[in-house]
Amino acid sequence: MRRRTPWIARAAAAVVGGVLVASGMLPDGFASSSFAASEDESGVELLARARDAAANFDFTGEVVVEWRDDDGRLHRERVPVREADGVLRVGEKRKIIGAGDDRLLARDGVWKRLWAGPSDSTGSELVAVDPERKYAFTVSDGPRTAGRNTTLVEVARSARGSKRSDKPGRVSERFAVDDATGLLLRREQLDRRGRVERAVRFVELNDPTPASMSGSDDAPSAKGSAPKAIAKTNVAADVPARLGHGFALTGLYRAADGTTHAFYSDGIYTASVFRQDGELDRQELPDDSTSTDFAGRTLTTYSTPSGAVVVWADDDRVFTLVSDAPKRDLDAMVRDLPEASEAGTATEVARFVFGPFRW
Amino acid sequence: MSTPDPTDELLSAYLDGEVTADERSTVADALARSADCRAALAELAVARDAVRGLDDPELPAEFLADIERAVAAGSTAQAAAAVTDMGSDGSRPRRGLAWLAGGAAAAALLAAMVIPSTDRVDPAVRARVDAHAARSSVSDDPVSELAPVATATGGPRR
Repeated sequence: MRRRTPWIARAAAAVVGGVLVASGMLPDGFASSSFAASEDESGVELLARARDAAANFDFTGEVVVEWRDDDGRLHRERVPVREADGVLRVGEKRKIIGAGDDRLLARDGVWKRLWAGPSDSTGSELVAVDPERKYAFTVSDGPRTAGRNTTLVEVARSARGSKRSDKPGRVSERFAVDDATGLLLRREQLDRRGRVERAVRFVELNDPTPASMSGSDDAPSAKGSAPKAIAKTNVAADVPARLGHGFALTGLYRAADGTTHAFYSDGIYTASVFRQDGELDRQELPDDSTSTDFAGRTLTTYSTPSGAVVVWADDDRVFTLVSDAPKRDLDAMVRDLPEASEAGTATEVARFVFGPFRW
Repeated sequence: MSTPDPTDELLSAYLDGEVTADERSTVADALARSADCRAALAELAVARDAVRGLDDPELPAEFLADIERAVAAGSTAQAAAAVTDMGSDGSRPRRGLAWLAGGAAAAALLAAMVIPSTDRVDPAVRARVDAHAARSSVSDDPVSELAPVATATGGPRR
């Protein structure tokens, strides 16, 4: 069990450490210790800090990505990563760059813009996310990862977040945070049997040092426009503010092709719901899919290293759900999304009447 | 004080049926009072068709121009008034019929504009996965969110 220290002592240590590092009174080897995990940080605090840590360090390394397909086979691939001067470069055959809130993807030798900040939508419909409403966090010594000591954060559905029983659920997600830097070195999602469903873990991490931010490693210029943040009032009213088990709408965007992108989070997992107006062209669906009937819809699903993808059509709208959440969360999300509405029926009638004038 | 015409972006969303009830009302009001707005909407519709290409049977070449002229001639309320005139004034049947035809064409045009397209759409599964990972990596740990989409063998090919 980890020992707790008063918050004032932690705050003082952080301030003193920061001043010493900033003034150069600590050697390099100690500099990174100012980012080290405190012994008594909660799981939520550790994970929150890990989200920011990658931007605070320059490093090179290699991660292994693992994912299980629909047949239960585990796939594995190594991916190089490098963070320098505020620019994160990931991948070799398929390259992605992260710089601030911008995300670029190389396609056919040309950099295309995937995302451009800021990512915040405005509007009272957006809901604050509190992961402790749904999950219980356990902190303990973690496994050595890439030759480094870690702190393990295990996440399970809390009794309050579980609708089926009063007991906490099984562990569904494990995070290993580097003790020295706060970097997230390992993330694993476990299935009902405790098997790894998806994982990303460092197998090599070369001497992370505090970011210099010299600006010498600029991101390349990119083509294309990124989705733009919009207010919920600018789209149809059927974008729910809450979805499934505890997912809250935290961003709403529109892509250049008119696709609406609603982004949800429950504090641990995220989900994107893409909505396109039109009729699903099933011939354009990639192979390797699984079809199931659920909640009155025919779902086409894919298993990817990033999570599951679910595609379905509903009243001349095409929905694509992408999420790293466990399957039961996906089911609840699909069930919550709007079915054919009265407006949709009226549209069908109008389309029949005015069919010859259709654009 | 005059109300400014809707932006091209709003008109485009209106054509796509992606507007709220308030926005739809705003655009409808603007179309009723502003010839510039009607012209802008017609231009956007023509440009969109040029880009998309139409699978449906082609309309007669003069069809859109006829409708534009009918809409430009007056609002639906004026058209209704003209129809009433036609009933009481037997000496102007041709003008009344013209208004009736114009009003009907305008109604058909507006109805067609607010009906969402039934274009067949490609769900672009791989692009959606990329977009989701990109957004997730902004608010969550970027390495663990982006590394999966950097794999060469994982997930759908397109």
